[in-house]
Amino acid sequence: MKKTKKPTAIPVLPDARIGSIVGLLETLNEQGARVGISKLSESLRFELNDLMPITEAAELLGFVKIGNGDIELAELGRKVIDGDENAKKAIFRQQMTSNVLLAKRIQGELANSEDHRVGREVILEFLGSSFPPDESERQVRTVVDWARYAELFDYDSDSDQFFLPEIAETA
Amino acid sequence: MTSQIQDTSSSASVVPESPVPLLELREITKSFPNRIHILGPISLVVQEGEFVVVIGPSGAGKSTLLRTITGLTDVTSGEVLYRGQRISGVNPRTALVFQSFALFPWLTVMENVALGLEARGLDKPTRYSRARRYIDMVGLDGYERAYPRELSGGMKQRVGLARALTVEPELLCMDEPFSGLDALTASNLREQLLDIWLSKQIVTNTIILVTHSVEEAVLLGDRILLMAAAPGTIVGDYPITLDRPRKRKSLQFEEKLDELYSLIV
Repeated sequence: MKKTKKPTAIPVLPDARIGSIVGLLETLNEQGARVGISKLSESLRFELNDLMPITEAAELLGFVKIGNGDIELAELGRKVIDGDENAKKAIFRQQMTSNVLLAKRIQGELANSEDHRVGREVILEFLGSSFPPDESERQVRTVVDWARYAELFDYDSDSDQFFLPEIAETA
Repeated sequence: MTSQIQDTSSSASVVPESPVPLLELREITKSFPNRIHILGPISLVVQEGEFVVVIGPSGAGKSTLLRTITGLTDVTSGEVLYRGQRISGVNPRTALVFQSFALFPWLTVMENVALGLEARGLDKPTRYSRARRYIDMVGLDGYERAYPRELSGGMKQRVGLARALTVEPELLCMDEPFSGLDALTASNLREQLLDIWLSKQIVTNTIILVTHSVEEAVLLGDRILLMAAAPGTIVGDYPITLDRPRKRKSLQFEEKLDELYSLIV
């Protein structure tokens, strides 16, 4: 049987909300140094399954270091905690632009589109090469949550379109 | 339990003059029309700038207490005084944040936050610019056009907080605002509330927060009121003088926590 070339897999965006990610950093800061992830889940009364996506998201964004089952606050994570809300947002924005493929993809589509609007289906189709439909939906939900916080782009759930808010406002 | 009856008949030259408290409850009680007595008598003085945390078992009337303070519920007997004035009806200098967020699903974040200002007779541009200020303050900028269904619980409660702050209350009441959230999200929102409160960039300088978590009480409060049920009364009033920011892992924190647990049990 002839092998078809597998399309490049899109990395999974962990299903974690902004508040939980920042909350994790604050908790790590309080606990100091390295902490075992399973110990952390115990002390937070969090199922390991529920905690994992949050730690993975923090790692993807460069806020923590994970190794041998331990988690530790990285320099950038400390900056997130110390910064005010605008500084936090700026760090999220920078990290999403460099580390989150899906965010980069949507930004690219928005830049190329004439009215700076992109339909949800365009992105779901892109995700469809790597994920089943329900996971694609989850990926979109997560990236919208993060992008709104980072003020990278916005999503209009009435028209099911991604858009760039500052352009929509001046138009 | 604090109870101060002010003598208004004489000029009281002997007693050192104490400032008029922000809030004073004088022997308030609350009964339902079927005569079931649920609250009081409660007497309480809250000074401007205090962060008061109310703890107690469910059914102790903690929420009812907040509703009488904000004027959402009438008292059956007794008086609610605000800056020395007797209050009846909703007190416009207060705002209440609910555990259930209480957002309108068909309104966007911006519309939900600005809604509280409509009743204050402000025009639309003023309402929206004021709402935007508090949306920014709680870190919700970027979410203005989102609907509540698109938000996580933590973000919904930020909307609830922004909506309460937008009316620029002097006294903010919060009814278990973090208890519907997971531990990490709750810790994040607590930090944010403290940042806003301690930064003094808002007119709100006094907070009364209800919780069932002793740890939360020790993390946040300058003073903890302990309530008991049936009928709801205040059975303890404890100052918390730990420095801020408070560290959960510190020895002083753990000692205070143990002390409070021993008082409650």
